[in-house]
Amino acid sequence: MNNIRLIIQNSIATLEIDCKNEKVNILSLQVLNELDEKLNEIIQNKSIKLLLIKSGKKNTFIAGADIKEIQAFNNEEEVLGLLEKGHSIFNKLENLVIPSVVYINGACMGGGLELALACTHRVISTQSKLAFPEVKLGFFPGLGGTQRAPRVMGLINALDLILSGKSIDAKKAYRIQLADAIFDEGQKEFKLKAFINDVLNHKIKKRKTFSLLESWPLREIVFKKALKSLERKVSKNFKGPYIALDIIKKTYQKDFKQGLELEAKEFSKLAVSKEAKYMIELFFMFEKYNKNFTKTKEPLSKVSILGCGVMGQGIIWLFSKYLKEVRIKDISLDYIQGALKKIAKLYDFALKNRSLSKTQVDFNMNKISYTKDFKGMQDIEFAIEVIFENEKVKKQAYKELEEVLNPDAIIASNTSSISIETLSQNIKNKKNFLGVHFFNPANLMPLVEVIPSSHTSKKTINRVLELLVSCGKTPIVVGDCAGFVVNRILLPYLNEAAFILKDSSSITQIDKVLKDFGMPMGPFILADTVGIDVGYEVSKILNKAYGKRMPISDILIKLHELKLFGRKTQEGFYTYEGKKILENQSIESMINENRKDITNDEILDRCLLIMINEAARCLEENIVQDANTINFAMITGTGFPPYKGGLLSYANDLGLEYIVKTLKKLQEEQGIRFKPCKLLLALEKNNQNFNTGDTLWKV
Amino acid sequence: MKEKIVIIDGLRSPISKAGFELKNIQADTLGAIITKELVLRTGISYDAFDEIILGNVAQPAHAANIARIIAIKAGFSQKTPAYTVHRNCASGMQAISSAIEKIHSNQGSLYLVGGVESMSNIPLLYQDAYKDFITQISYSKSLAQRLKILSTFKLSHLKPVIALLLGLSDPISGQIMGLTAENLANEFSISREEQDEYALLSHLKAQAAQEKNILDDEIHAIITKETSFFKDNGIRFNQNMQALEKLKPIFDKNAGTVTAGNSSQISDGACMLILSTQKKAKELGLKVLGVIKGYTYVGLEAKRMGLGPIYATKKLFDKTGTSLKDIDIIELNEAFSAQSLANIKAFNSNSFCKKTFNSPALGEINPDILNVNGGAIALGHPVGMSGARIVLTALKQLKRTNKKTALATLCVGGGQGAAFLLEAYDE
Repeated sequence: MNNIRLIIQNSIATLEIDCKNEKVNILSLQVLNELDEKLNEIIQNKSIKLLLIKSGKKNTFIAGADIKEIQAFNNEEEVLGLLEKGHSIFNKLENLVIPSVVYINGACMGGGLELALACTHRVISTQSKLAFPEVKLGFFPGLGGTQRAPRVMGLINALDLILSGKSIDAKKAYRIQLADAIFDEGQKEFKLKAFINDVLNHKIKKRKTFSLLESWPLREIVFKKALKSLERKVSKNFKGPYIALDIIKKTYQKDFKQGLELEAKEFSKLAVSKEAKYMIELFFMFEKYNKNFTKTKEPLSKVSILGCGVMGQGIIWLFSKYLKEVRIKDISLDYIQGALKKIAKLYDFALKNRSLSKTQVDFNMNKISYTKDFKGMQDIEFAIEVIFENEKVKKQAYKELEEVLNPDAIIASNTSSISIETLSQNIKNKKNFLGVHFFNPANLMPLVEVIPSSHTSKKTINRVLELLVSCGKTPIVVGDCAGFVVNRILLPYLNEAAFILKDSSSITQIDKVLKDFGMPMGPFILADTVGIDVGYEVSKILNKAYGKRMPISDILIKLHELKLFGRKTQEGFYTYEGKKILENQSIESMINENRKDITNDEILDRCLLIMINEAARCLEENIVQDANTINFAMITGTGFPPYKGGLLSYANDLGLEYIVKTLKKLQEEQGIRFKPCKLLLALEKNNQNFNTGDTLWKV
Repeated sequence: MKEKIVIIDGLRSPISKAGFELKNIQADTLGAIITKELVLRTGISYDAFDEIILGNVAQPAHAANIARIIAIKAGFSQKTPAYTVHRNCASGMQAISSAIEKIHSNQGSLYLVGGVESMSNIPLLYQDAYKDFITQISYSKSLAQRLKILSTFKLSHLKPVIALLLGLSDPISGQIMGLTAENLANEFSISREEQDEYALLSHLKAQAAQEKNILDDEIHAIITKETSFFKDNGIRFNQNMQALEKLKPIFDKNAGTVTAGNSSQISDGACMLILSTQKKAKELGLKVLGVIKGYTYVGLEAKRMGLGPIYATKKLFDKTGTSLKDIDIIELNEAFSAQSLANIKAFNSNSFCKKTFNSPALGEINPDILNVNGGAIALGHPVGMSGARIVLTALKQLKRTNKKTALATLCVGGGQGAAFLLEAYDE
């Protein structure tokens, strides 16, 4: 209790929201109930002329609804009841006979924004950030947002905000009439008082939001455009924004009450769905891995990158954006210039979407210094080697690095396949050496695999995790083995797709089946994008390490021989001509003439079960700590559909009995690579599932 | 006793002819790249520095107090102060001596100093008449008024004023720098041929140095998304007299002798040095490049500004008790062949020295120790940078050749001279 204080002074009631024992205000059921009580008090007190709502927290208004509460819902009726209650409270606020003013002094998200929209007037400080982030979690605003937002800020602005989940700053909020006044926090004493006086003296006029585009029939075009843009950005499997769009379309400029009813009905249906639960789970996994370290007094901030290839470029960009000193080393000044050009391009994107200013970009670029030798490295605290996969060259680089670096400095390898234990052999300070495996493109992919050797110290791991999180990455710590986790699981999948192709089906067919399943792209287009050369090299290493379990498909070998490396050579499984992508006809000579029929389900089983089996082996060998780590790695590292909960949650849903049975069948048909691993057999025998953690909603 | 002033190390960019490889690099970026590299190579912590003092002549409009912008871009914290100095062609030296004065008045003990210039980016200006035109439009209140003013527009309004030319003209004598060189050619009877020969020698020396990579230890390549620039590009390889003879005089087109070929080049570049005391260097465990024994600035008639070096050197020798015999290396900035030759003649002229200083001649300058790796005629003369560059190159040359004492001196537009006495560091 007592998350909201009611102060009545000079006929003005002030509700100060200040959630106890929390850093930020969360709109939990408890807080909503308190709000209801206070509103009742206010209604009864006839002397009150105005209601002011504000936050007791510095720099945040309300950070949103309580996600844990949403995750715990498992009964549609129950959710519907709660939503109706919430709606009635907000309606109560909106229908007060006195005017209400909300002062937004910082983050104002989701439910917080919906609360603000129910007030008569919104006043915001210049540091405010406002958003409906619900769609990022697979939902949409459920406390009247789909109804009030279009009414306050107009259809176009409301759709933009609700469907994208993006946050807008105070200036934009004022521009789109979401707010009636804007000022710096330091001016609050004067300007808020003045605004309230103006409201009391009826001097504030409602700003109009009418746009010609929103009138019938032009509004149909607006909805069509919104749908098109949504389809371009978000897969239909993420239902939240699509439902929101549909609700707004059906209810826009119609009865408010019915609109709320539809919103509540659709929200409660979605809230109890498995997809929604998995999406929330992913959110919590991000939280978990982003906090999986202890903060140090002096976080690493001066770094060096050895190697200016494609991977290096992404990492250089990332570090220059977040850290203090970035020294790049390459044997060729031409490569260095190539990297600087690429990095400038990456910054151009940031300029275009206005996430960075020109001055910031300028200063970030200036953090980058370059050297052909190992000069000027005395102060570098973290050096990452991004040289091509050659053990000898890498080891030589570490030797030279150790000669110039401070003994405390950490050396990391971005190898994707060579064992960290092997690479650390000649390192003097073995405790400061480890693997840090980024995914391409490193500037975008959130996942980083951190691989300690048996000598790497806990302190080193901690400092590197801190560094990566400070650069906006989400690192997971995994064991040292060929391919680590993601490549070890993904490569058999790519090869399996090629094995299927050899006897049956077609490139487009197989790609379509997996894309329909929810993968961001099919296996063949993925192989072409990553590069057949890269895929082949990694397959070779995996084959060497894991033997018969991971054979390389003939087609991959053949393509590699012919130097058809995919997109980079305009020819791989597909041919690429500008925007035209066609099946590569020369593949025909590589496949068996007698085609066998295969069903889509069989394609799915072969591609997915081979991954599940390998994932189980990773657990068996303690390469990862738990099944959730695999779920997270596959979602963030390969784009495995998050609404399916990740590879092993999907396995649980499929049922281990089915998996083992099918694997055994496939082993007979296809060979040893499908042999179910011990852990799978044991789990199945004991009627168990992969332990994906104690989630609140699982019965 | 005064603290011994030492240079820890220095670094410069390659020098580019204006309008070439560095044309798209603004002076602040150029300065920041060299500054950062120098600090990183010496391994001194940014926070150890007391201040950044840089020379710059054509201070860019977008980077007022360019030293401060360079400092922050190079990685210094915002807590470290910085300011910019201006003494025309001696700006780079002024930065050094300003820091020395700060040390001697106990303000600090570790300074980043140097000079930077992007003559490519000196702007074109609008004429006053056009400026007035624009101002009037912006102040006009009614459409009628505006139209009336618009009708006064003349095409000639758009003819730009070249700020570079203004900068190279001396408002005191009213002459452009090249004409002050003609004055000296006249006063000392220096022939066109002599001037061209001197210019040729500068190119040949610079070519030899570049071919042997002698200057590599003072140059850091400038690599940005716009450019990849490794070596001074002003040197004309295999320059010869025939080519030089063909050029027409550019300042006095009819009677003159000074040509583009025997003048210094308009260029872009940056040079940075780390200046400290012997005590502080020991405290930080730093290797030292050299010592600054003394410096002087003098004034003289603006029309004879090219003689700045002999005036300044004479004063410096008197002050430090040095004579020409003690000097192993001389960097005498080559603003013009005529100007350099005038100094060489004046050094060795009893009558000049008697008349000017009431003393015997300073002596004959040994050509083998003068600008041994070429001078501004071959390398270029980014005005704000040159003062720092000749100090750096002289100190590095002492080290390369294991010699003891060097003189770095230059003439300054507007009628001044500057001279620095440098010494190799002896533990």
